[in-house]
Amino acid sequence: MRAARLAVTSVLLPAALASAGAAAGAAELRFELDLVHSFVQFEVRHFDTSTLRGRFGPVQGEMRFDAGSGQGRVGLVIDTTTLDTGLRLLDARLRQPDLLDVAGHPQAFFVAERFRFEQGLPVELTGELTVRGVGTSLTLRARHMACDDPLPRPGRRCGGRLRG
Amino acid sequence: MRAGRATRPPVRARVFTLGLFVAVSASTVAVAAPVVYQLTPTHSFVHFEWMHGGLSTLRGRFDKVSGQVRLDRANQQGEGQIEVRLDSVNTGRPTLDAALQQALSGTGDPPARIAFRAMEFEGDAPSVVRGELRSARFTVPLELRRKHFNCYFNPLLRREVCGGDFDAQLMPAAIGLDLHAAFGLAGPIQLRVQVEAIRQEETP
Repeated sequence: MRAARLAVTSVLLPAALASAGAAAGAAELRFELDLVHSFVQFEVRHFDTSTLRGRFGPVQGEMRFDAGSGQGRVGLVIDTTTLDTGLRLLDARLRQPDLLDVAGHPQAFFVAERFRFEQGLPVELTGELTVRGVGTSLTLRARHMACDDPLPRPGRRCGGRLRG
Repeated sequence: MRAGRATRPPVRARVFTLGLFVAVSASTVAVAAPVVYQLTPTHSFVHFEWMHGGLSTLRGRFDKVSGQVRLDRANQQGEGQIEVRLDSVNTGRPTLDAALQQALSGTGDPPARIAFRAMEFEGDAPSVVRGELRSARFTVPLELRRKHFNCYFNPLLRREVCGGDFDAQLMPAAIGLDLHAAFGLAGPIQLRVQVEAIRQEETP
């Protein structure tokens, strides 16, 4: 079986500035994932014929970035119990201890702190995906990234679709 | 006359010989005959993608898909139909599922059907499939383009299985679907049809 391809699609809602202490990084924008519109999907080719697709979500998380300094951080919490391939038998099999071990590890994580920007928007996020407590490095690349304004500004939504 | 007839084999024997000849010929050219494949519901889904608010991409799925395809790969011909239960829509968001169901079909409506009669081939694999998507509420032409296709012998089923991914684009207005105001969904819908089908024993 080939490696699964991952896709993250999300709307980022502007998060309130935490405190006066945040003023030091005034150019930094903070977002929370919109719980209604944020999912992680995966694709696996089945016997070199069709592509099986599954979904986790909604996923929780937050993101902050400062395009000027090239800094950013994203943290996603993926509830593995929400696995849904449309096939209950397969879902049940994938949840078992030798695969996703949903009972033992009900959450998976993606944390990235290496960002690449294009035109003020993050387009590549490199970090670590942790599944069953085991981390692997993962780079998500934007297939689409946009904000309600042409450039991200405080108080505006952003969103996109990234693949890895 | 009488002597001539006596020299030929009885009629029944001749019919039998002819039948045997046809049977042998049919088996030797079996690769050219159309073969019926039954979709396997566990590996066949209609997925869709729809842009939300210009930001994220909604991905949903119709979970109940069935159908049959008749392929004549040697002669590059094929036809078939795929039935899609519109009430099996699944986006991971129940309120949106309910709105989609209400917009697409009424209670008791039969499943939507993708019927196709025209296939283009590249070699022995279908590349473009043309047909229409029809439900109780709409009929629209649909052109499916192959992203991937392959056949293999499944050792568990002891049958040939063919399958692949076929993409089509659908304008929501063409099927009377407007969820822009309520859900911010706009623009063309990308259909991603995932199918796998098992070769049936003999063509009926």
